[in-house]
Amino acid sequence: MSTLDHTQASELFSAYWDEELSSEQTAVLEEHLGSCLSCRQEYQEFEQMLGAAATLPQELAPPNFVAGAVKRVHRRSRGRFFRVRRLGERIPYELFSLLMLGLILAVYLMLQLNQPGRLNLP
Amino acid sequence: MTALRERRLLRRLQRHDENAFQEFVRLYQHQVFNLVLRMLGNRAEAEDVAQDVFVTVFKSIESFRGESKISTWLYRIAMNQCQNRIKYLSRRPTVRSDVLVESSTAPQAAGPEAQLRGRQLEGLVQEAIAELDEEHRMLIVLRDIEELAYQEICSITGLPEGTVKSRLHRARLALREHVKKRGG
Repeated sequence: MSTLDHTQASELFSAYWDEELSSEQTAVLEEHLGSCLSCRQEYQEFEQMLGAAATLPQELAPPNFVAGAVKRVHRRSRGRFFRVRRLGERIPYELFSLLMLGLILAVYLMLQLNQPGRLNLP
Repeated sequence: MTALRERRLLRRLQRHDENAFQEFVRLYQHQVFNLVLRMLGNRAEAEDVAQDVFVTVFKSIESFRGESKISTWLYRIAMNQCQNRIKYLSRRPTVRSDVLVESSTAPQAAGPEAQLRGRQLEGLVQEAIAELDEEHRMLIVLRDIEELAYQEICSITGLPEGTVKSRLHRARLALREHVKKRGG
C-alpha cells in the first residue's frame, strides 16, 4: 500500500481513529491526508463527530430508580424472590409479637388474680 | 470494582440477598440508564427498560457463571431488552425522542464560540444516533459513547471482532452522513 485514492483513505478512517493501523498504514494514510485537502477535511469532520459522541454527558438515572427496581422485583416475584433474612439482619417482628402476646397474657392473669372471686385458681 | 468485590457481590446476589441487589442497582444504575437512553431516546421508556434489566439480572443470576465481567453480562441483557423494546415500539405510534444535550461535561477551556459549536455538534450527533438503524446505533453506543473495548463488544453482541470492526466502520460513516444532513 504505497499510495491511496479517496475511497481507500476513507476506508481506513475508523481504524486510524481507533489507533489500530500498522505503522506502515498509518504513515501512508498520514501522507495522503497531508496532500489531499478533501480527505483531510473529511477526516476532520469524522474526528469531530466521534469526539462529540465521546463527550456526550452521562445521563443519570432518576433519584427513585433503586427503590423502583426493588419494588419491581418484589411485585414480579410476589415477594418470594428475596430470601428471608435471618435474625440480626432485620427487625425480628415475630419475636416482638410473641413478647407482646406474653405481656398481654401476663397482664390478664394479674388482673384476674387481683379479683379472686372471678377466677378460682388452685 | 475490584475482581474480589465483584465475586463477593455475585455470591450475595446468588443467595438472593436484598441488600446486595440494592448495592448492585446503585452501582450500575447510571451506566445502564445512560446506555438504554442512548438506544431508545426516550426517558420514560429508558427508565422502564433499565429497571426491567435489573429484574432480568435477578431472575437469571443463578445462570451467570462468571465467564465474563458482570458488567459485560449486564450490558448484554440491556442490549437484548433494548432490541425487544425497539421491536415492540416499531409496531406502535412513534415515541417522541426527548434526549436533550443540556450541559456538556467536556472541559470548558475552549472559548465561548468553540463551546457553542461543540454543544451544537453534540446535539446533532445525538439526533443522528437516534436515526441510525438498530445495529449501527448499538455499535456506536457501545464503542463511541461507552468506549468499551472491542473484546467486550464481541462478548455483548456475540459477533466476531472483524465483523464488529467492519460494521462499526459502516455505522460511523452512516452517522457522519446523518450529521451532515442535519448541517454538521
